[in-house]
Amino acid sequence: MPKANLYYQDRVPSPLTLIWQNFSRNRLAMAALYCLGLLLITMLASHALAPYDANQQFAESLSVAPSWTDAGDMRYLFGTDDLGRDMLSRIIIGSIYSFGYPLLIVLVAGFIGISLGALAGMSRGLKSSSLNHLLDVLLSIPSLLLALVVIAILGPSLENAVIAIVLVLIPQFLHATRNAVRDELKRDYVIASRLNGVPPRYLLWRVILPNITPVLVMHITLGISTAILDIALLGFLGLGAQAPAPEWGTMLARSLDQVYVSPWTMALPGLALFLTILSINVVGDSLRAAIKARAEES
Amino acid sequence: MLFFTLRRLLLLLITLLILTLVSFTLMHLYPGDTIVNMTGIRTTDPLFYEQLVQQRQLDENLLVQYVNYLTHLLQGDWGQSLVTNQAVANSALPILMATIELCLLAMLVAMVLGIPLGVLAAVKRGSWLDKLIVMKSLTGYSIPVFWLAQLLILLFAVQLNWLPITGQLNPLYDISVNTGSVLIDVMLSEQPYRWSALLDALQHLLLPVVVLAMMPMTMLIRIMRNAMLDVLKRNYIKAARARGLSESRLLWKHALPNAMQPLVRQLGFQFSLLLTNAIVTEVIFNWPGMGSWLVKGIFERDYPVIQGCLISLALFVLVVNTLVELYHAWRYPQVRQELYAES
Amino acid sequence: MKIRSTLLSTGWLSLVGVLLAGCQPQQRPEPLQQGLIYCSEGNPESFNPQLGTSGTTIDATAAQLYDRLLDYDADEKRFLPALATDWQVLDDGHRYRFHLRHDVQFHHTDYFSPSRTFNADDVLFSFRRWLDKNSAYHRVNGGSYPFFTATGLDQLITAVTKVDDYTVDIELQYSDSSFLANLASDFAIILSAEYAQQLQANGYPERIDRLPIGTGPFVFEQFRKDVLIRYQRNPDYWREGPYIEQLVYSITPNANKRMLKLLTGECDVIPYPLISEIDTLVDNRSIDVSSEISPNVAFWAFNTERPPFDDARVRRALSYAINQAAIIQAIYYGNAKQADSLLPQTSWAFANVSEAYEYNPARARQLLDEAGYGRLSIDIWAMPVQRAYNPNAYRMAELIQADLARIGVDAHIISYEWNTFRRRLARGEHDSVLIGWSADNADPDNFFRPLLSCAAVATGNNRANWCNAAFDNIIFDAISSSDREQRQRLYDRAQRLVAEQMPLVPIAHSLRYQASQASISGIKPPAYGGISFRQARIDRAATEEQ
Repeated sequence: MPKANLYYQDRVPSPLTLIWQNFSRNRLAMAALYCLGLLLITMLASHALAPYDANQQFAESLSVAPSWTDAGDMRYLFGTDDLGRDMLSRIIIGSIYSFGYPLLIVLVAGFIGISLGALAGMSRGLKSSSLNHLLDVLLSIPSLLLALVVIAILGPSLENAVIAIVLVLIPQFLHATRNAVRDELKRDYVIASRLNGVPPRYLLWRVILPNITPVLVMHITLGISTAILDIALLGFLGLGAQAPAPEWGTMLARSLDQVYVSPWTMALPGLALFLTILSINVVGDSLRAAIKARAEES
Repeated sequence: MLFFTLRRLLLLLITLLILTLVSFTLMHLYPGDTIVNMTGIRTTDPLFYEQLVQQRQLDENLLVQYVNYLTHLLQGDWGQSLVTNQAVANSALPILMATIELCLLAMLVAMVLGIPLGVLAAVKRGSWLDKLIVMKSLTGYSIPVFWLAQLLILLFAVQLNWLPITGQLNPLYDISVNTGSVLIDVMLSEQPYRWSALLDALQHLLLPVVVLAMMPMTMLIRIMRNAMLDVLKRNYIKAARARGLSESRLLWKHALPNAMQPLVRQLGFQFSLLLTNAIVTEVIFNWPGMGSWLVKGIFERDYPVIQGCLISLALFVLVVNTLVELYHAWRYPQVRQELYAES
Repeated sequence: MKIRSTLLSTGWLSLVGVLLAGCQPQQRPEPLQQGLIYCSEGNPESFNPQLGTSGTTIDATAAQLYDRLLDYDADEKRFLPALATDWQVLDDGHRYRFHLRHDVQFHHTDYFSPSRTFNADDVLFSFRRWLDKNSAYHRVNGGSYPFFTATGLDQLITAVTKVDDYTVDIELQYSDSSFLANLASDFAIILSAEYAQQLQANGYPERIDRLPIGTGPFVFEQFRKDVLIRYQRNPDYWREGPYIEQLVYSITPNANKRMLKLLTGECDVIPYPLISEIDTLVDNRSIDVSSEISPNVAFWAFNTERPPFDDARVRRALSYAINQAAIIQAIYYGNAKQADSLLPQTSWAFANVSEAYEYNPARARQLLDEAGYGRLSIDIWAMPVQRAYNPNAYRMAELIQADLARIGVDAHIISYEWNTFRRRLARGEHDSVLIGWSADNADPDNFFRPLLSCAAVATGNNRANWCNAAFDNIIFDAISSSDREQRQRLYDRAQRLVAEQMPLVPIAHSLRYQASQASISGIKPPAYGGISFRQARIDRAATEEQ
């Protein structure tokens, strides 16, 4: 049916658009977002971008300094490590482990957690505030501690670290979604829709979800930064990614042995981690500010 | 308040019960023999093994097993380490104390530095000082703690040689371990060199405490700044200002106490974050606390130790959270009302 | 509270100032003057070297807590009297008579006060602990004595008898040319029989290896796992020394941290400094680096009980696949010799047998195809600590992993905490392992029987689980003979057999390094066995004036 514009319509931008408008005015936030975009592209194209294979060992050039120093070699932009592996390639390919895997983790954990949380929020049986309080308290146990216990059961490896982090992130998403849905349910506009006789599914998808999306996005950015840190932390402790995977935390841990001779092997993965987490935090932060600004405007 | 306290304590109790239930389930999930994981006793003697099974009632149904497990746990029988054959419960106390000492000091530093800086940033809102503080705090909580620790070690310990790299105390000081908290142990000891040992212990503490304090401090700065900005906009502040109160009096007497409320509420959560970082900080600084014990335990597949760490650390976090909440409710009765209303 | 917080913050800042200012070492407090910190690489398994073969345990205990009947002087290549003042060989090498030293005190500690001095009963007790399966203490703490089983000493000795209070006879089943060398090794220590009786009477026999009593230069005071071991000077020591008041082992498994702590002065002596950084250290005037030729070998052993390693062709293929020259460069920075055999080139029995195993990936692939293995997936266990023979097994495993990938073999690197690692190895849970061996004495036999004999399979010390009757016969013949030329011929055959069967790939023979503050003297990296602090001296004043 062709859409006939019969009546004057005041198009109200969706909550997400409103927040985006606020967000995009923040230059720092946009810079961080571009950074993340760049990182995402680098990660997706890492095997094409990396000059060498991450595990290729150049026996004749062990521990070469980065190219801008006097001892450097133009073939290896960021130098090589003690086994003669190109640092640039390792950092680029490492983004798969240190950035790609966390994204995957949050995707899976977010999907499961948010669906369950929305269900729990909509259902009537689970509304007891004591239960809510209990969940609050249980979630105060650090996620890393639980991830470590999961690893103790499954044994140290990258796959198990991923499973462990997914498992500990699910309840957090669940709890956040459930709270958000329950908060929205009390709002006037939702009650109005209900009185209009909207079926629950429509209520959830078309009424509530658009309004809680910003909050969920914020929790997702938080989740990504937690996942990145946890993967790197587990790698650093030797409980996550195993050699020769160029995961940044693992690289950092094994670079410590040469910190005196080749400090760049420690500086680079740390810097990469730091910049990634910083970008995500800036985005998450600005998002929160934008949500708050919108709440105050309305 | 009494009712609230009781409710809160009951909640703590229930949470702890759930925790033991989880831990009991884990005992069955860990690889290897459940009885070995529980007791930490390896035996090749089938008779003795049978005896252990009887004692733990592992041949009964799960409920009986759990009750039995809980009884053992409450009696302080946490099994023995598979590596050292020492009772886990006995070794746990000084180790937990070492962690508590580190965490409390770090939290103290974070509060002592973070709150004034947050207030300062709010008061000088928009100035270069504010921007500097906000930027600093953004970097501060994005920097991976294990990287920061290494950088600080390289700078302060190796390059400048001002501070020691790892450990609690120069090992040549013969201080016996009583409580596990190095400062208390040094004070309790009767060695003639107590004071130089205390100074040495403080030097050893400085780097890990600073590293650990970094994240909560930056968080507290941000929370404090936002809360302060919120409060400063309120009418009662405007009214007070209109009445001609001095700016400093306004700040300290009227704005700050109210701005502290969201901060106190957040403290419990900050503590959980702090503990996450404490695990890795302890490993880096060879701090003989729960974190390094747990990681060692995982490497050594020492399940009784892993269980001990899980229970002690979770207990610690939960108790701190409860205390913070109780303090919060006591200090800000209006919150209590909200919670009552909800129930 | 709020105002106080700013006050506190300024207070804290000034405290920081005081701390930083107080850090420059002006005058070391009294207990630090005559105490020495040795940053060791791991926890000892127990405080009794009889129970293990781990170098970490030996370093921590053997020379500090205990004495042996005789010592071996590696420089002069002769045996020195210790708890035995002299000895005679009787009955054509079938009986040895030892005369014991008088007035040797056992340690006085808060858990034991000896009522008598050392005598023949202590020797009998110490030997029977590992020799006699029926002795009360044989089963205490595991009942496994790998060194004695692997060297066959427990089969060789038929009786230990007391002639009088200060004379002991040891009777042998056959004459063995390595017997005295084994007695002088770090494992053949003397325990206190009186202490053992007292423990047994009190019902705590297992404490004998946890709260040790010996006659050595240092007295045990305290052990905190993963933190430290504390020893005090033994004031009644029977010979010269020790010169230091306190000896602390600060347990620092991370090699990099050990290195940094040496630079900052938190460690006085460290074993196994990172070879890559030795050049930086040698430039540093306040730090001495010393090295000693220590007969050792790093090797890659295949668990021959598991497929595909039960096939000698696979083992040979893998030996062709690894680029040893590259390993010597990347891991040892050239400070090691490529191994041509289990025996180092300096040994008189050395035979170069491995010319055939030059780096040749094509040949390796071909052999694998012959054996019928297309793609292969194996585990490499890399030991988590540094040893004289291998400064970084994990990195070596990474190199080998890359080499193997080239011939289509997937390798997974596995590592555990050191004691767990050894326990699992002994149970044979590994596919292949990067480990090695440091000789306990000068006899070439020490490289064969403890490593590859069938007896060593039982004790778990034979990392290849390789039991070959022909090989056992050869090395058994070699020790029964005292004619050096004949022994040389036999060892030559043994080495050829190993090269043909390749239960393990010898990789390198390395120097043993040790770094210390310039103010410390009198500690040499030992050629055989563990480090000794008996003659260590500290002269802090001299260096602090510089």
